Amino acid sequence: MEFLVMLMSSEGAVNIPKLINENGLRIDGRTTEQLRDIKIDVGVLKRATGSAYIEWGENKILAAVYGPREAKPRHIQNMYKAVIQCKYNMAPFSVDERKRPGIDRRSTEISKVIAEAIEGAVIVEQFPRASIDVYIEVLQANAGTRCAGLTAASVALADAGIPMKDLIAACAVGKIDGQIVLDLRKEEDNFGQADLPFAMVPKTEDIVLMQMDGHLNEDEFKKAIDLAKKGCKRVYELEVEALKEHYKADMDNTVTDKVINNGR
Amino acid sequence: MKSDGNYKTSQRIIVVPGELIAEGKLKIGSGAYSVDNRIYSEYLGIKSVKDNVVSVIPLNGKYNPKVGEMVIGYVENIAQSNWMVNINSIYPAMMLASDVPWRVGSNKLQNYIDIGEAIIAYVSEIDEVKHIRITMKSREFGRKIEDGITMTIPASKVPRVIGKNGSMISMIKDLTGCRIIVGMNGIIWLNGEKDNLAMAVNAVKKIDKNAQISGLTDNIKNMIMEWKNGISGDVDE
Repeated sequence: MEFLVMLMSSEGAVNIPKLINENGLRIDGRTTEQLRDIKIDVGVLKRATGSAYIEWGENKILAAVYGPREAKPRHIQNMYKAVIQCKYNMAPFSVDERKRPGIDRRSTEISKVIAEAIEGAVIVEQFPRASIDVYIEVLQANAGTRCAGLTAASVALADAGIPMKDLIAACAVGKIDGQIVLDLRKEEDNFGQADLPFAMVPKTEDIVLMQMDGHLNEDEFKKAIDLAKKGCKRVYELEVEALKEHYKADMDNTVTDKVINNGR
Repeated sequence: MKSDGNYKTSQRIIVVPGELIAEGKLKIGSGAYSVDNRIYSEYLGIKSVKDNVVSVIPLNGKYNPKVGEMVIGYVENIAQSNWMVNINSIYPAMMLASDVPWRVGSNKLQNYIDIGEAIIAYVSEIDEVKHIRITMKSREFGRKIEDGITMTIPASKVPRVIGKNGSMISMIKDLTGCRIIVGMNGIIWLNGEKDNLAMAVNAVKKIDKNAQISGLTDNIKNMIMEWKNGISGDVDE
C-alpha cells in the first residue's frame, strides 16, 4: 500500500492522507452522507434521438441515445426484444495523464454492465429486432463515472421517448478511513478501503448494477446498501426535475409566441 | 415522488417514465402500465384522462404503425421484387411489386418508383416480429407523389394537426386553398399556390410547436386570417 501511495502522490508523501477530519467532514467539505453537486441538462445534442449532459462534482459526461432502430448486422437481432448496445468511452483529456484513446478492458466492462442495467428499466419487449444505442462520453473524470454515465444515459433515454418502467438512478458508496461514505471522489477512491458503484430502479428498489472493489464486512455492506439507496433517491429527484424543467421551459417558450397569443 | 402540480403548463401535466399518474379503478390507455391498481407512465409525455381512460402521450419517439393507417414514406432501397420504404417508424416497411397499382411484370422496379421518391400508402400487415407491409393498391389515396412538398412532424402530434373530426385540417385547407394529406406517421404532403403553400406550412409548424395548448384551432385561424388581411392590405396600397 505504501508503495502505491508513493507512486500516486505527486508530492511524494508516504503517509496515506487523512480523508475525514475531526469534524467528520471530508476533504471537499462534504459530510459522509452527502452527494457532490449534480447538474443535469436535457436535450443538448440535436442529432441524437435523445441526449443529456451531466456535471457530477468534477465529472463531465455526455450521453446520447439513438433508436430504437433496426438492429444491424442482422445476427445481433433478437426476435423477442430490443438489444441495448452501450459504448462507454473516456476522452484522452479526461484524466490527469493522457488516456490512450480507444476501447480497453475497463471501458468494455463498463459498457457491458451499463447496458445490462439499462435493460432492467427499458421495456425492451416492445421492440423486437431493434437496437437501442447508448453512447456515453466522459469528458472529465473524477471517480464515479459509471454511475454518473448511467444516470445521464437514463435521462437521455427518457428524452428519446423510449418507454421505461422507471428511470434509473445510480451513485457509489465506499469506505474511507473506516467509515461508510456516499459518492467517493478521486482521492477517496484511490486511498479508501472500498468502492461500491450502485444503481437501482427507484420505484421498486430493484438493483440493476452493483460492483465492488475492496473489502467490506457484512454489517458495513448492509449499511453501504442503505446509504446507496438514499443517494439514488436523491439522484432520481434531480433527474425528474431536470426532465420536467426542460420540457416545461420548452412549452412555455412556445406558448408566449406573439402570433398565437393574439387570439386570446 | 415529487408532486406533479408544479409542472402544469396550460392544463397539461408533464410526466416522466415510472411516475404514478393515477390510482384506483381507471382504465389503462396507451403509454401507461399498472402494478397493484396503481397506474404509472411509460413515457416522458403529457398525461391525459378521458372517459376514465388514463394514457400518456409521448413528447418524443417514433411512429408506431397500425394496420389500416395511411402513411407517407420515402423509398429507401429496392430489391428484386420489393421496395423498402422509410415511414418514420422503427422498422422500414416493405412494399411488394404486387402492392402497386401498375402491372410491373418483368420490368425493373426503379422504372415505377425510384430511391428517394415519396409515396402515399396504407399499412396492410404487421406480424409479431414487426415486419411491416404497406400497399398502394385499392385505396383512395394510394399513389406516388409527383408534385407539391412533404414535411415531417412527430407522429404523436398528428391528431392535433387533424383536429376533432378533421376540423383543424379542413380549416387550413379552406383558408389557404391548399391540398393537404396528413400521413399518420407524421409526414405531411402539401400542394398549392406559392404563398398559400408557405402559409399552410407555417400553420402546421405552429401546431407542431404548440401542440399542447388548448384552443389551437382558433389561434391558427386568427393567424391565417391576419396574414390574409395583411396581403390584401398590401394590394390596396
